[in-house]
Amino acid sequence: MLEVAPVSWIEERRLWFAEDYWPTEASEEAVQLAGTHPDRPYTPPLHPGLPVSPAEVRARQGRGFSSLTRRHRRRRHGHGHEQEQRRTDIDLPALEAALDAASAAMGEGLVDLVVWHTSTGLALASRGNAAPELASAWHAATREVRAMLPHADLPDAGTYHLVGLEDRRLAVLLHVHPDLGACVTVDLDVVAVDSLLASSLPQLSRDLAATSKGY
Amino acid sequence: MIEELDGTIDDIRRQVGASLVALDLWESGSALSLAGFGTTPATGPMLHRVTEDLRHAATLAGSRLDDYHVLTVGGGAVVVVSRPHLSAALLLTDDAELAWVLNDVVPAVRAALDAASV
Repeated sequence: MLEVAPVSWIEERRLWFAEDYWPTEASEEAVQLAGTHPDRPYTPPLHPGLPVSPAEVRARQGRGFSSLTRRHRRRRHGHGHEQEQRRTDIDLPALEAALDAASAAMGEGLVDLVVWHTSTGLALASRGNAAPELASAWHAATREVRAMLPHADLPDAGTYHLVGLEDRRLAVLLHVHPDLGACVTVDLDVVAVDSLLASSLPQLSRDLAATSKGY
Repeated sequence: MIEELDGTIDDIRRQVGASLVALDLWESGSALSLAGFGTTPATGPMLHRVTEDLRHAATLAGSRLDDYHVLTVGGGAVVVVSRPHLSAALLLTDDAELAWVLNDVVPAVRAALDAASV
C-alpha cells in the first residue's frame, strides 16, 4: 500500500489562489495527460495539431469528463414537425347507444349514419345503408375542407357541414371531437330541417363527444 | 356583364340582409372570380376546389352532390351555391340560423345566379 503524504486541501487551494494565474485554456501538459491512458501507449498524431483522441479534444476544449460517467436523462429529440400523440379511448358500447338514439330520433328520415376515427378514417359504427367506403370518402373530404380554410382567409371550421345531395337528401358532416367524425344523411322530405338542427344533431354531437376520453 | 353581376350582388344583399358579411361570385368552370366584396382572391378558387372534393366524396358515397353546401365556421357560416355557369360563396354571421339558410338563402342565391347566367 502506497504511503500518501497528508495533503491539506485548503492549503492547496490557498497556494493555487496565490499564484494569480488561472488560465482559461487547458495547458498542453494537461491535454496530454487527459489524452493518455495508464495502460495504452501514447500515439503522437501524424500531423502536428491533429487531435489524437476524443479525450484530447474534450480536454483541449475544456468540456471535462464528468458527464461521461453520469447517465444523461433521455431527452425528447423532436425535429419540430412531430404531432403530439394523443391517446384516446373510445367507448364503443356508448357509441353504439348514441347511434341507436339518433336512429330512433330521426326515424324513417335517416338514410345512413356513420362514425369514423379522424386520425385514420376508419369507420367505427354505422346505421342504415352505410357502404364500407362511406366513412373514408367523407373523412377525406372533411380533411380537405379544414385544410383549405386558412388559405381561403376564412375562420376555423365549426361543428356542422351541410352538404346537399340529389333527391332531396342532406348529408351533415359532424366534427364533434378531435377523434371522431360523423356523417348523417337524411331525407328532407321526411325529416324537418328545424328539428334536425335544433335537437337531433346537437344531441348526437353531445353523445358522440362523450364517448371519447383521452388518457 | 360586370354591371349585371353587380346587380346580382345587390339582389343577394337585399334578400339576405345584414347577416351577409362577404360575397364572391366565380365562373363555375374555371373558378375565375368575377365579382364580390369582402373576400380575398383565393376564397373563390379554394371553395371551388372544396366543392369538387365534396362532389368526388358524394360519388364515392354512392350519391351525387346537389348545388349547395353550408359550412359552419367560427362566428358564422359559409354558404356555397354552385350552378352550371356561376357559383357564389356567402359569408354569413352566426345570427343567421341554418334552417333559414337552407330554406330561404340557398334558393334565393340559386335564383339570382340562374338569372345572371341567362
